[in-house]
Amino acid sequence: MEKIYRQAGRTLCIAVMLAVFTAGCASHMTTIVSRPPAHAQKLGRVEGRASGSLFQAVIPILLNSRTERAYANALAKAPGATALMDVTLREDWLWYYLGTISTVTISGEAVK
Amino acid sequence: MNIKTAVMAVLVSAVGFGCMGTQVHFSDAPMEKLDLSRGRTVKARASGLHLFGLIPLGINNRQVRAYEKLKAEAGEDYLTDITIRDGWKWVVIGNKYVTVLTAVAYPDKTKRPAAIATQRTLSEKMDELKKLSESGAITELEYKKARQRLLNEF
Repeated sequence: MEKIYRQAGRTLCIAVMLAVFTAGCASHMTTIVSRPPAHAQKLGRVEGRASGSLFQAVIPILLNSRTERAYANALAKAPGATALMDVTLREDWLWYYLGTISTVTISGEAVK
Repeated sequence: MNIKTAVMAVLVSAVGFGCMGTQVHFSDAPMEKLDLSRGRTVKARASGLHLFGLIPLGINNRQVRAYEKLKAEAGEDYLTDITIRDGWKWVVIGNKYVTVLTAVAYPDKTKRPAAIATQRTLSEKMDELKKLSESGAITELEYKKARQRLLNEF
Protein backbone atom coordinates (compact mmCIF):
# COMPACT_ATOMS: atom_id res chain seq x y z
CA MET A 1 0.00 0.00 0.00
CA GLU A 2 2.82 2.35 0.96
CA LYS A 3 4.45 1.66 -2.38
CA ILE A 4 1.29 2.73 -4.22
CA TYR A 5 1.14 6.00 -2.27
CA ARG A 6 4.80 6.66 -3.01
CA GLN A 7 4.24 6.00 -6.71
CA ALA A 8 1.20 8.31 -6.79
CA GLY A 9 3.15 11.02 -4.96
CA ARG A 10 5.99 10.77 -7.44
CA THR A 11 3.59 11.01 -10.40
CA LEU A 12 1.88 14.05 -8.86
CA CYS A 13 5.25 15.68 -8.21
CA ILE A 14 6.31 15.17 -11.84
CA ALA A 15 2.98 16.57 -13.07
CA VAL A 16 3.37 19.69 -10.90
CA MET A 17 6.98 20.16 -12.04
CA LEU A 18 5.93 19.82 -15.67
CA ALA A 19 3.13 22.33 -15.19
CA VAL A 20 5.49 24.85 -13.58
CA PHE A 21 8.28 24.42 -16.12
CA THR A 22 5.98 24.85 -19.08
CA ALA A 23 3.91 27.66 -17.58
CA GLY A 24 2.92 30.29 -20.06
CA CYS A 25 -0.10 31.98 -21.51
CA ALA A 26 -1.18 34.28 -24.28
CA SER A 27 -3.95 36.79 -24.47
CA HIS A 28 -6.68 36.76 -27.11
CA MET A 29 -6.12 38.71 -30.29
CA THR A 30 -7.41 42.19 -29.48
CA THR A 31 -8.24 44.59 -32.27
CA ILE A 32 -6.72 47.96 -31.47
CA VAL A 33 -6.97 49.63 -34.87
CA SER A 34 -10.00 48.90 -37.02
CA ARG A 35 -11.30 50.39 -40.22
CA PRO A 36 -13.37 53.42 -39.19
CA PRO A 37 -17.06 53.30 -40.08
CA ALA A 38 -18.14 55.20 -43.17
CA HIS A 39 -18.82 58.86 -42.33
CA ALA A 40 -17.24 58.36 -38.91
CA GLN A 41 -18.38 60.83 -36.30
CA LYS A 42 -15.67 61.87 -33.83
CA LEU A 43 -16.65 61.79 -30.18
CA GLY A 44 -13.46 63.08 -28.61
CA ARG A 45 -10.23 61.69 -27.29
CA VAL A 46 -10.51 58.94 -24.69
CA GLU A 47 -8.14 56.87 -22.59
CA GLY A 48 -8.54 53.45 -21.00
CA ARG A 49 -6.33 51.59 -18.60
CA ALA A 50 -6.25 48.04 -17.25
CA SER A 51 -3.81 46.10 -15.12
CA GLY A 52 -2.92 42.51 -14.48
CA SER A 53 -0.38 40.75 -12.32
CA LEU A 54 1.98 37.86 -12.76
CA PHE A 55 2.09 36.47 -9.25
CA GLN A 56 5.20 34.49 -8.30
CA ALA A 57 6.24 34.58 -11.98
CA VAL A 58 3.81 31.82 -12.97
CA ILE A 59 0.29 32.72 -11.82
CA PRO A 60 -1.45 35.24 -14.08
CA ILE A 61 -4.09 37.36 -12.35
CA LEU A 62 -6.11 39.30 -14.95
CA LEU A 63 -2.87 39.55 -16.92
CA ASN A 64 -3.97 38.02 -20.21
CA SER A 65 -7.02 40.24 -20.65
CA ARG A 66 -5.37 43.57 -19.81
CA THR A 67 -5.18 44.93 -23.40
CA GLU A 68 -8.74 43.87 -24.17
CA ARG A 69 -10.01 45.54 -20.98
CA ALA A 70 -7.98 48.71 -21.57
CA TYR A 71 -9.52 49.05 -25.06
CA ALA A 72 -13.02 48.39 -23.69
CA ASN A 73 -12.44 50.92 -20.89
CA ALA A 74 -11.38 53.55 -23.43
CA LEU A 75 -14.45 52.90 -25.59
CA ALA A 76 -16.72 53.04 -22.55
CA LYS A 77 -15.58 56.63 -21.89
CA ALA A 78 -17.43 57.78 -25.01
CA PRO A 79 -20.98 56.38 -25.02
CA GLY A 80 -21.95 55.05 -28.43
CA ALA A 81 -18.37 54.74 -29.66
CA THR A 82 -17.67 51.72 -31.83
CA ALA A 83 -13.97 52.16 -32.60
CA LEU A 84 -10.86 54.16 -31.87
CA MET A 85 -8.76 56.08 -34.37
CA ASP A 86 -5.29 57.56 -33.98
CA VAL A 87 -4.54 54.93 -31.32
CA THR A 88 -1.59 54.96 -28.93
CA LEU A 89 -0.63 52.13 -26.61
CA ARG A 90 1.77 52.01 -23.69
CA GLU A 91 2.58 49.33 -21.16
CA ASP A 92 4.11 50.05 -17.76
CA TRP A 93 5.17 47.55 -15.14
CA LEU A 94 5.86 47.54 -11.44
CA TRP A 95 7.71 44.96 -9.40
CA TYR A 96 6.42 44.23 -5.88
CA TYR A 97 8.41 41.34 -4.33
CA LEU A 98 5.73 38.72 -5.04
CA GLY A 99 5.39 39.47 -8.72
CA THR A 100 4.91 42.18 -11.27
CA ILE A 101 1.94 44.33 -12.22
CA SER A 102 1.56 45.29 -15.89
CA THR A 103 -0.63 48.20 -16.84
CA VAL A 104 -1.75 48.86 -20.41
CA THR A 105 -2.92 52.34 -21.36
CA ILE A 106 -4.74 52.84 -24.66
CA SER A 107 -5.86 56.20 -25.92
CA GLY A 108 -7.45 57.30 -29.14
CA GLU A 109 -10.10 59.31 -30.89
CA ALA A 110 -13.45 57.65 -30.26
CA VAL A 111 -15.69 57.37 -33.32
CA LYS A 112 -19.10 55.95 -34.14
CA MET B 1 22.58 58.78 6.62
CA ASN B 2 22.24 56.05 9.23
CA ILE B 3 21.74 52.36 8.48
CA LYS B 4 18.03 52.42 9.27
CA THR B 5 17.41 55.17 6.71
CA ALA B 6 19.48 53.35 4.11
CA VAL B 7 17.56 50.10 4.67
CA MET B 8 14.25 51.96 4.43
CA ALA B 9 15.36 53.65 1.21
CA VAL B 10 16.30 50.30 -0.32
CA LEU B 11 13.01 48.71 0.77
CA VAL B 12 10.90 51.57 -0.54
CA SER B 13 12.72 51.65 -3.87
CA ALA B 14 12.46 47.87 -4.18
CA VAL B 15 8.74 47.81 -3.47
CA GLY B 16 8.04 50.50 -6.00
CA PHE B 17 10.50 49.54 -8.71
CA GLY B 18 9.07 49.72 -12.17
CA CYS B 19 9.35 51.14 -15.64
CA MET B 20 7.26 53.03 -18.14
CA GLY B 21 7.08 51.42 -21.53
CA THR B 22 7.61 53.26 -24.80
CA GLN B 23 4.41 54.59 -26.26
CA VAL B 24 3.54 53.27 -29.71
CA HIS B 25 1.39 55.29 -32.06
CA PHE B 26 -0.59 53.38 -34.68
CA SER B 27 -1.09 55.57 -37.73
CA ASP B 28 -4.51 55.62 -39.33
CA ALA B 29 -4.78 54.47 -42.93
CA PRO B 30 -6.39 56.93 -45.37
CA MET B 31 -9.54 54.97 -46.22
CA GLU B 32 -10.12 56.76 -49.50
CA LYS B 33 -6.75 55.57 -50.82
CA LEU B 34 -7.04 51.87 -49.94
CA ASP B 35 -7.42 49.29 -52.65
CA LEU B 36 -9.67 47.00 -50.64
CA SER B 37 -9.57 44.27 -53.29
CA ARG B 38 -5.90 43.57 -52.69
CA GLY B 39 -5.47 43.25 -48.92
CA ARG B 40 -2.97 40.82 -47.47
CA THR B 41 -2.31 39.73 -43.90
CA VAL B 42 1.01 40.73 -42.34
CA LYS B 43 2.40 39.65 -39.01
CA ALA B 44 5.30 40.69 -36.77
CA ARG B 45 6.52 39.78 -33.33
CA ALA B 46 8.98 41.09 -30.77
CA SER B 47 9.95 39.70 -27.42
CA GLY B 48 11.66 40.72 -24.23
CA LEU B 49 12.87 39.12 -21.03
CA HIS B 50 12.04 40.12 -17.49
CA LEU B 51 15.21 38.83 -15.88
CA PHE B 52 14.40 37.54 -12.37
CA GLY B 53 11.14 39.44 -12.70
CA LEU B 54 13.01 42.68 -12.14
CA ILE B 55 15.50 43.56 -14.88
CA PRO B 56 13.85 44.47 -18.18
CA LEU B 57 15.68 43.29 -21.30
CA GLY B 58 13.82 44.48 -24.37
CA ILE B 59 10.57 44.57 -22.38
CA ASN B 60 9.70 48.25 -22.46
CA ASN B 61 9.86 48.80 -26.22
CA ARG B 62 8.72 45.44 -27.59
CA GLN B 63 5.40 46.85 -28.88
CA VAL B 64 7.29 49.58 -30.74
CA ARG B 65 9.69 47.04 -32.24
CA ALA B 66 6.82 44.78 -33.28
CA TYR B 67 5.06 47.71 -34.96
CA GLU B 68 8.24 48.76 -36.78
CA LYS B 69 8.62 45.19 -38.06
CA LEU B 70 4.96 45.17 -39.10
CA LYS B 71 5.43 48.39 -41.08
CA ALA B 72 8.55 46.97 -42.70
CA GLU B 73 6.56 43.86 -43.63
CA ALA B 74 3.85 45.99 -45.22
CA GLY B 75 6.31 48.09 -47.23
CA GLU B 76 4.47 50.96 -48.93
CA ASP B 77 1.06 49.51 -48.15
CA TYR B 78 -1.29 50.95 -45.54
CA LEU B 79 -2.02 49.03 -42.35
CA THR B 80 -5.42 48.63 -40.80
CA ASP B 81 -7.35 46.09 -38.70
CA ILE B 82 -4.37 45.79 -36.38
CA THR B 83 -4.68 43.18 -33.64
CA ILE B 84 -2.35 42.55 -30.74
CA ARG B 85 -1.64 39.44 -28.70
CA ASP B 86 0.64 39.38 -25.72
CA GLY B 87 2.02 36.11 -24.42
CA TRP B 88 4.34 35.20 -21.59
CA LYS B 89 6.35 32.16 -20.62
CA TRP B 90 8.27 31.22 -17.51
CA VAL B 91 11.93 30.53 -18.39
CA VAL B 92 13.73 29.73 -15.08
CA ILE B 93 15.70 33.01 -15.09
CA GLY B 94 12.60 35.14 -15.46
CA ASN B 95 9.63 35.62 -17.74
CA LYS B 96 9.70 35.98 -21.49
CA TYR B 97 7.07 38.25 -23.03
CA VAL B 98 6.13 38.09 -26.69
CA THR B 99 4.01 40.66 -28.51
CA VAL B 100 2.45 39.58 -31.79
CA LEU B 101 0.86 42.12 -34.10
CA THR B 102 -1.18 41.18 -37.14
CA ALA B 103 -2.78 43.52 -39.63
CA VAL B 104 -4.19 43.75 -43.10
CA ALA B 105 -2.00 45.68 -45.53
CA TYR B 106 -3.78 47.42 -48.41
CA PRO B 107 -1.94 48.99 -51.33
CA ASP B 108 -2.63 52.50 -52.55
CA LYS B 109 -5.21 52.22 -55.33
CA THR B 110 -3.62 55.08 -57.21
CA LYS B 111 -0.42 53.03 -57.47
CA ARG B 112 -1.79 49.96 -59.24
CA PRO B 113 0.93 48.01 -61.03
CA ALA B 114 0.96 48.59 -64.78
CA ALA B 115 0.44 44.88 -65.47
CA ILE B 116 -2.80 44.85 -63.50
CA ALA B 117 -3.99 48.21 -64.77
CA THR B 118 -3.65 47.10 -68.38
CA GLN B 119 -4.94 43.58 -67.81
CA ARG B 120 -7.92 42.82 -70.03
CA THR B 121 -10.80 40.61 -69.10
CA LEU B 122 -11.43 37.26 -70.75
CA SER B 123 -14.47 38.56 -72.62
CA GLU B 124 -12.41 41.46 -74.04
CA LYS B 125 -9.78 39.02 -75.31
CA MET B 126 -12.48 36.74 -76.77
CA ASP B 127 -14.10 39.67 -78.58
CA GLU B 128 -10.78 40.71 -80.08
CA LEU B 129 -10.05 37.16 -81.19
CA LYS B 130 -13.47 36.88 -82.83
CA LYS B 131 -12.92 40.14 -84.70
CA LEU B 132 -9.56 38.85 -85.98
CA SER B 133 -11.22 35.63 -87.14
CA GLU B 134 -14.12 37.46 -88.85
CA SER B 135 -11.73 39.83 -90.61
CA GLY B 136 -9.77 36.84 -91.90
CA ALA B 137 -6.55 37.83 -90.13
CA ILE B 138 -6.40 34.34 -88.57
CA THR B 139 -7.69 30.99 -89.84
CA GLU B 140 -10.56 29.08 -88.28
CA LEU B 141 -8.10 26.57 -86.81
CA GLU B 142 -5.92 29.31 -85.29
CA TYR B 143 -9.03 30.93 -83.85
CA LYS B 144 -10.16 27.69 -82.20
CA LYS B 145 -6.70 26.98 -80.78
CA ALA B 146 -6.29 30.51 -79.41
CA ARG B 147 -9.81 30.43 -77.95
CA GLN B 148 -9.12 27.11 -76.25
CA ARG B 149 -5.81 28.43 -74.84
CA LEU B 150 -7.55 31.48 -73.38
CA LEU B 151 -10.21 29.29 -71.79
CA ASN B 152 -7.56 26.97 -70.32
CA GLU B 153 -5.63 29.97 -68.88
CA PHE B 154 -8.85 31.28 -67.36
